[in-house]
Amino acid sequence: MNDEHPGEAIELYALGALEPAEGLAVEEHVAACAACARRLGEAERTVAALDTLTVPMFEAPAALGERIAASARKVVVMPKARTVPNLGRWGSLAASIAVIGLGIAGGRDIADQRATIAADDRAFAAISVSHFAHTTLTKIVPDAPTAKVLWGKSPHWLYVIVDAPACGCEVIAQTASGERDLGVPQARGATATLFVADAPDAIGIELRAGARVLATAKHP
Amino acid sequence: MTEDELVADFVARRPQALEEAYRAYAPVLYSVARHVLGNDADAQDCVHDALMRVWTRPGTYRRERGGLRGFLSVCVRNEAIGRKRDAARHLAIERRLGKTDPEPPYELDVDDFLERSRLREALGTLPAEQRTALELAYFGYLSQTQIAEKLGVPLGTIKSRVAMGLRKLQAAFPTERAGTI
Repeated sequence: MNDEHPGEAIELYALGALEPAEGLAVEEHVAACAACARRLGEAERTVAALDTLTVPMFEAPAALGERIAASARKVVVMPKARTVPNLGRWGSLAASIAVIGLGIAGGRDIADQRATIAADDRAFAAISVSHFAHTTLTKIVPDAPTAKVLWGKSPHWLYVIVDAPACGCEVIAQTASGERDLGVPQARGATATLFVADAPDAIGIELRAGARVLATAKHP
Repeated sequence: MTEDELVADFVARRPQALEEAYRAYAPVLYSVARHVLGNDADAQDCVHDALMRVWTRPGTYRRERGGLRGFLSVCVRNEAIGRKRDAARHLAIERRLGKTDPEPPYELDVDDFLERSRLREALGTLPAEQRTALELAYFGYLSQTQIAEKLGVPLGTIKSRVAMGLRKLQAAFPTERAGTI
């Protein structure tokens, strides 16, 4: 947990006035802080009361209920984050990633896994519940590692998987206004991965080693 | 089933709890998404994805937050606002690339929403700067950064104005009570 209380960001969260990364920070803190959970609950009740006064009521389509019920039945409910061995989470994450054909091998030290569990949680949640497309990066140089990118549709997250645990490369986003350094994929068993929670402006990505472009992909 | 029973099932993550919670609050959740996004298809995707995100992330909800209605409603609302902002950003990129027409000037039409006297009265009790910031967040779906840019006021000031305004409004609305759903 981020030990610093979010304070006024709680009310902004309830109003939807935070950006995704800011909102995730509030959610993570509130999940482990009773006082802030109470404060957020009060703010949520006020926003719900505003909704009651301002939002026209529609009848929910029956198909939506059936869809939610079907999806809920497929979900393997994960135990709470702070009471469960991390290897179980790795198993769930690996199952999700397997859909694109790149496996995640185990064998890393559990302490290292604990250090990266927050990012893995976000990636797992995003992959599990939102629509995404995936693209194989086109190799620009022959020795480029095989890599894929998942493009979250809403919110616009990115998940880059490089089929090499130590590629020594970084991921650059191409945007309408230039380039943005998204970060360095971190080793995960036999692969390296990078999850970016909010990348709405990315129209393409490059995998680079220094100034050398290894591989590239365009937003589908 | 009472609200307390539903909360207990939800916290215990009993398999049917998500469906029961959805059934209990479906009109509210769908209406919030539909109101923000403006169409049925996007609203359905939004409600579905927001609920599944909640259900796949244990610990997101805890009893101290109170009833499920406010919690789920805000989850759906935030998901809808995120989608709306994403769409606006993509439109802005397309405009920069010259693919679409220039963006029309932003106008906040609060009057349409102020039909209910209680809301009007409650908002009327706020200092003008708090009311303006709160309206831009709630009715305009703007982020704190966008509000600060629009009003030309430091981000920290906007954060304080919005938070203070919402906390003052809390006194104007009755607290959600547990009862039979």
